Amino acid sequence: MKRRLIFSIVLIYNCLTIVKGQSELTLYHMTNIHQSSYTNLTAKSDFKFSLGLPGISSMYAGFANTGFSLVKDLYDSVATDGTYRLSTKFIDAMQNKNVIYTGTSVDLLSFKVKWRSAFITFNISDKFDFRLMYPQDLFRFVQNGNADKIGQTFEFSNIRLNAVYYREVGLGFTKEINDKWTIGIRPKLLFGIANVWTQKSTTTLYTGKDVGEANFLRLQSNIVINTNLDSANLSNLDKQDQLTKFLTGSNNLGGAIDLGVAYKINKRLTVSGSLNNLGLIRWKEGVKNYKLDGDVTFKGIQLDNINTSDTNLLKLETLADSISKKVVFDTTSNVYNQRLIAQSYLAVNYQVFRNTTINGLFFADYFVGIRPAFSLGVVQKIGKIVNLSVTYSAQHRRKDNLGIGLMLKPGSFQFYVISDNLTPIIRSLDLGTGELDFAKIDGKNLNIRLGMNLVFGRTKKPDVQTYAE
Amino acid sequence: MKKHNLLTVFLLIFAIATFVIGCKIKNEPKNIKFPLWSPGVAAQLLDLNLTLKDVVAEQDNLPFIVEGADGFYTFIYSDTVFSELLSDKLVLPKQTVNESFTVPPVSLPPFIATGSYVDSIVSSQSFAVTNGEKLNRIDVLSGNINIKLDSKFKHDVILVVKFPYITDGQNKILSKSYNLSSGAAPINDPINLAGYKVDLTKGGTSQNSLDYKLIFTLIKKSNSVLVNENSLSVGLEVENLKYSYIEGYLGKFKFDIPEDTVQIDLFKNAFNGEIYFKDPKFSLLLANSAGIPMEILVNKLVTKYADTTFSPLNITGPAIGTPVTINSPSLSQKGQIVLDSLVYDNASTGGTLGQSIQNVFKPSPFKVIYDAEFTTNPSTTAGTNFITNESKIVVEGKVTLPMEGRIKRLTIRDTVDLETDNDFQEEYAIKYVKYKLNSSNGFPFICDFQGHFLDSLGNVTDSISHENKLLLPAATVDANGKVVSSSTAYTEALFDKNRYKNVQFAKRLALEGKFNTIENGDKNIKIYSSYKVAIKLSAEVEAEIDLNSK
Repeated sequence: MKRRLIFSIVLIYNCLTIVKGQSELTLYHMTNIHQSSYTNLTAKSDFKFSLGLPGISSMYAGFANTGFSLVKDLYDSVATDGTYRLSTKFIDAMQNKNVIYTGTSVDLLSFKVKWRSAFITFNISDKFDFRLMYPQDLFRFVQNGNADKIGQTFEFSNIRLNAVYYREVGLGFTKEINDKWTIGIRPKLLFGIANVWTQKSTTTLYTGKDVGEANFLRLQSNIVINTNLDSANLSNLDKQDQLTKFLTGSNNLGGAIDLGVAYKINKRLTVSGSLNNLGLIRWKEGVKNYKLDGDVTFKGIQLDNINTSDTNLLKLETLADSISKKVVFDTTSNVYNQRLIAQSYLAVNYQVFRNTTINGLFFADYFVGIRPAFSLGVVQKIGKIVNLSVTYSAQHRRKDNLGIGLMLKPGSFQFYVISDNLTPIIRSLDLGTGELDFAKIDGKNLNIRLGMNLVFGRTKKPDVQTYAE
Repeated sequence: MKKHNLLTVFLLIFAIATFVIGCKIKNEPKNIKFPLWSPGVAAQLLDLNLTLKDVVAEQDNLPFIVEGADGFYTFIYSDTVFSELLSDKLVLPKQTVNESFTVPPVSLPPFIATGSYVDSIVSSQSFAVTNGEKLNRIDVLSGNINIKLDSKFKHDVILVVKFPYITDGQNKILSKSYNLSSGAAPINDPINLAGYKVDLTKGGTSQNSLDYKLIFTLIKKSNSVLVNENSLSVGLEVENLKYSYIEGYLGKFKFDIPEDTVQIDLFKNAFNGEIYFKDPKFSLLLANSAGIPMEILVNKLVTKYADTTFSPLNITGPAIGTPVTINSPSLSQKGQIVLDSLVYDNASTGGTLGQSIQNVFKPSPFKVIYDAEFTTNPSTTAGTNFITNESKIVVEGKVTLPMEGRIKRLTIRDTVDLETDNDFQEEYAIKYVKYKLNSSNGFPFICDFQGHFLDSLGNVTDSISHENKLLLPAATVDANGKVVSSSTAYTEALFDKNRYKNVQFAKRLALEGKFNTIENGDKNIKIYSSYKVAIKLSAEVEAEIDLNSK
């Protein structure tokens, strides 16, 4: 029991601390923070050595939901006593495919060191990535039922859960080949710990056009869910060796690679790109595959050759039983490979002044379709101790995301705080009273990353950096 | 790092921390009020697709149904079997014979001289009967001959009793000798006759003749005197005689078929209207294994209707008022069952005239009541009849209804108790329920259907249909009355909140269906096993759920 509690605490801690499940558009350009190399492998830091301490080097809290805005879409009005009258307009705001993202990444150890003309990065990180896709029709069905959808089909496809918790050991190498080209590569060894993966999900519910139509209620479903969270497996976590085995994920090995390249077009203009998380995890330990391939046409109680005196046929329980008998999951225990969700970044940097760079960034990952994001930003270095970045981005179906990144380096300590979207906070902030109006929060994503590294040495003097040439 | 830079950084961190920590949150959510939830669910509740054959196959309580090679149905209701053993009706009475022996005065000297005296009686006693029977033979199943002897002689007596026409299985005559010592107590000796055959014809020359021979021998005992009063009395009693076979003229006697009924469940809920069967038939089926001429007289053959406005009607026809002879097995058919029947059909009851079977089956009765009586040897006083101990007459009443005819305004009513379902009582949640009924009728009936919801006092709280009764048009038939295509109909019934409440607390549902065959009930139709009805019932429910209520 105690060990299971520890396990739970670790999971919760991961969820609430350092998150790296989604795009981080502002971090990409904060090259002096060595964590930026997780998104931008060709990032070159001003520091020769940067060390991330376990637990405090990077803390993150955030949430993204493409379906509707928080909190604004959830209510109609707020009374003075704090009573929120909930609204269903959040359903209207949805599209067919909507995704909730969250994720965590705990750096157990990370550092970045300059060696000759190259940077070497190393990290041991626990990562948890959670994505839940949900369709608007699911909420429409719950909200309105199917009575106003006669002759139409509810599309419940792509109700997908992809939750993966794994440990990553990465060794990165970034090399400036010449004045123009910089390349980076980071092979990663992965240890899968926990996984729930909806590999396939297509479900439709058709309501017949009239009572005489044969397919009055037709449920077609093709679902494959893979997981290693078998209940029998989890119940063994009371045993020390089983818990250790589970948390090390030593039996679910995988590999991935991050690639980066940067090309300096001229002294001011640089383009760069990264392809991250190209790889997979092979899940072998305690896996279960649940497969449902059903096509059920429900026409009520079938009376065709039965004893009509059986009054139990008219009970609701009997109806439910008849449906459940037709919808049965096949369970197998086959090993499966799960690809990581690859992420790609393509950026353009233009150095306007010596300490001022403007940039543009395109981001995309692939989770049941391409999920793009765009940002425009500026990075301003102020002296040797302050880096400030401001981004304006379009992502999660919102075009009003204002991001800010701030890095301070007093001595060998490097503090930073980064957010891709402070708009909801800014909008809800009453500058007159200094109060945060909860009711005015309006955004689809809200995130903030802050942390502290130890940095040592400088790769070059600020006054000869970039623009000075 | 310059000192002022460091100071700036710390001041900035301090300012941010102060802002974050000190920031107050306005409009914190303290309570949540949910909007009214009004989901509407449409689902099919019932998909009924039944052929008549399906229904018949699943029902144990339906009458015996005969399906012709072409699927044409004939319903047959048969009921209450009357069964009577003839041996219970022809009971042999007790037979009693008394004889006595004395020594006449003229015989005394020889008796004294020789020491013995011999005498005998040979007699033919008439076998007593009750119905004028003239019996030839009795094979005894059980019964006794009691031999009763009482000697008053002061001398020894030997008596031999012989029945020359009573023989056992080895054809040995029944004979027994008794020794009675002087002063001995009276003798009562029951002889078991089981297995004996009694020939009552005296060797083929007579009937009802019970023959016996008594041989009396008196043996002198010394020092005893003989007085005139001395005698030997002999009593012969045949009693409790049951037979395995009896032959002869068995007499004229009557026995009744008590009043009985054939139930026609199909019409027990018929309230009124006319149902016309083209060829209905009521039969009394007779199975007779008694070799005795018999006639049957039907005293009563009455139809009774569920609709009490129709008076019971008497059927006219065979054996009603005038007895008719029924088949009996001949001597050569001993042990066999001979069948016969009284059939009341169009031909035997006069077609559509008077109290014919057709007329009394309009409307079809739910009961046919009958009683009758049998008379043996109604017109003869001689002949050779027989009965075994298993001879009996069995009567079965049968109504045969070939499913061809027509129906006018036939009303069938029934009432079903409604269960109060707790789930159903979530009154507040239901805004309305709309039932949609899509039917395909493969029967050549037009059906008006209505249902009334009743409270515990029998008051109507609501009805299934307010505007019109649910109408199911008839299928189309060919010239022979056979369905060639089904009809379809669509009906909706909307139960709003108020109506729903009316229904919710109803205790019973009174159902009423009115049936007419095509062309206003003037055209004959036929019923085949392939006829089917398809009903698809769906419901559209809109709920109104307040998630804020406790």
